[in-house]
Amino acid sequence: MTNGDEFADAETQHGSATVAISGSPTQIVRIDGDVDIANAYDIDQRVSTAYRPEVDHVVVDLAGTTYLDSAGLAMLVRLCSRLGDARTKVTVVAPPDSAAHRVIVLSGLSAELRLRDETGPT
Amino acid sequence: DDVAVIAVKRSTDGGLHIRLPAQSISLAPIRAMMRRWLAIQGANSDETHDVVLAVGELASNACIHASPMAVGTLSVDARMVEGVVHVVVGDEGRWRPPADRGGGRGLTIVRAVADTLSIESDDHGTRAHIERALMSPRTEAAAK
Repeated sequence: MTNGDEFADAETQHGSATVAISGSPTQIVRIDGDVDIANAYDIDQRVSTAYRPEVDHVVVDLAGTTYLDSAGLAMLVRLCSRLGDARTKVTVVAPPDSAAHRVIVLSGLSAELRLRDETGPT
Repeated sequence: DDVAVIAVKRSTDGGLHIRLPAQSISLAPIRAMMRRWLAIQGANSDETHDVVLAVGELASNACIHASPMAVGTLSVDARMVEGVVHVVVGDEGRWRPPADRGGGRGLTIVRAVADTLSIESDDHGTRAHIERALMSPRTEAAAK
């Protein structure tokens, strides 16, 4: 269990993106760099592996995401759907001037992904 | 990086011409080259983001639909015509209708960020052409 927790807090590299996951029961998932079809599945696996039953809220922080395309959006939609099934709240955070914010709004997914401008109490 | 050097030719018309394997590993280098080229053309950060996103989506499609039995070539040809960025993304495959692969959110994004999008397919492959006008393009004279 200790090893698993250490892994959950480590930063991992997935091609052109870095993923850092920390905290419980609110778990922050920070994705920095580019997310595309080359690494979306890998990132999905990483986030799924780091999930713990005691987590009741996952905050996906995309402030440092420099590129997000439809493959990345599909990954976020899948993630939200799975966590919803596990009765875990999900919030996606992206500042208004960020790359991720623009793509999520353009795609009409703001409500489905519970898009917010900044991290903090909900 | 050797791959990029071999694949990119800055032609005399100031265009950008990229040839890379139609594989997802080619996408990040294509985005990096497009960003550099767009900066030279005078694109602002919003325009750069939008064009890179559109080209990224089209190139991603090309990787998914590239020749099924072997890795084909993905081509990206960008040029400026009277203040408008033109990019043609080509591959050697035939795209299936968007409905076959989960709704076609990628093409919806391309249509939202590009001024125009046209796609043509024939026996040689598929070519997607986008245009996006720039607010303050670098003039031909200044570019020389």
